[in-house]
Amino acid sequence: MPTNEGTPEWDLEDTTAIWERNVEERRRKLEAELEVNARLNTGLAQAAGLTRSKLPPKLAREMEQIIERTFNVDPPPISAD
Amino acid sequence: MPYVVPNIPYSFGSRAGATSVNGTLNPEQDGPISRVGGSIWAYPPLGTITVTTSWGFVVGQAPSTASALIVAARGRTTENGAAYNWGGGYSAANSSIALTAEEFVNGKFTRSTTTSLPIMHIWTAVIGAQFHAHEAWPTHTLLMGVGGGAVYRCWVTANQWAMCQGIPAYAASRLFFDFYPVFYSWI
Repeated sequence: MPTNEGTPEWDLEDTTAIWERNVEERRRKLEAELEVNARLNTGLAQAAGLTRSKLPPKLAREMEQIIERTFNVDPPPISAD
Repeated sequence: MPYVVPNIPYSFGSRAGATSVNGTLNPEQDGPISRVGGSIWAYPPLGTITVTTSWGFVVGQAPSTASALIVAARGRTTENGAAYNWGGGYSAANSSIALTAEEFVNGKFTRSTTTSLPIMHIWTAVIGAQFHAHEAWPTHTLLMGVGGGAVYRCWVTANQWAMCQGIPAYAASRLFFDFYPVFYSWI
């Protein structure tokens, strides 16, 4: 089994601050994208007269059940096969 | 030693609004198989979450005769996603895997190269629902020019984000990339 045994130790600079800065920057860009898309699409919905009250309760329940069923499950066993 | 099991775990996330992580973001291993990824959600009325999970390893010092480093990770992705809106708003979810090589001279970071492989991108707006479920067996590669004497560290990373705004609105990104020992070679 391949391992890291025998790999020399190197004293390398910690770059996690760069990684964390990139993740924070990605979130800021996503928030800006979300603000524009959500505002414009909500405006379109209002212009078309679409409101939450028009959502059939049965369909709403089915949507939420699919979401729950899909994601509230344990991760699969680790396997690359 | 052309194959290596990564031995440096790393994860980081950033979120705003209504979001959650289902389970852990800690990278896991089972024998020679490594896993990156997790399950993240954004909820109504507004949420944005983005996470990175990685396994890294030090490749070592480039031989004086080397001009490039090649790295390849092969494995299986298990993917799920959701984007749902009714009556306005916007929802989107994304996942990708990436290879990064970092260069160090005298222990100091000098530069890095990243290649990214898109796995999933779904979105919906106003009225819509997308549910994504898929498995794949990708091989992802990276090629980086190197300087003799510099030291290199590599990372196998899962990048994910989910965001939504609206009532109701949901977005979710669930990705697990399970990969074999990582191949590398100086060329």
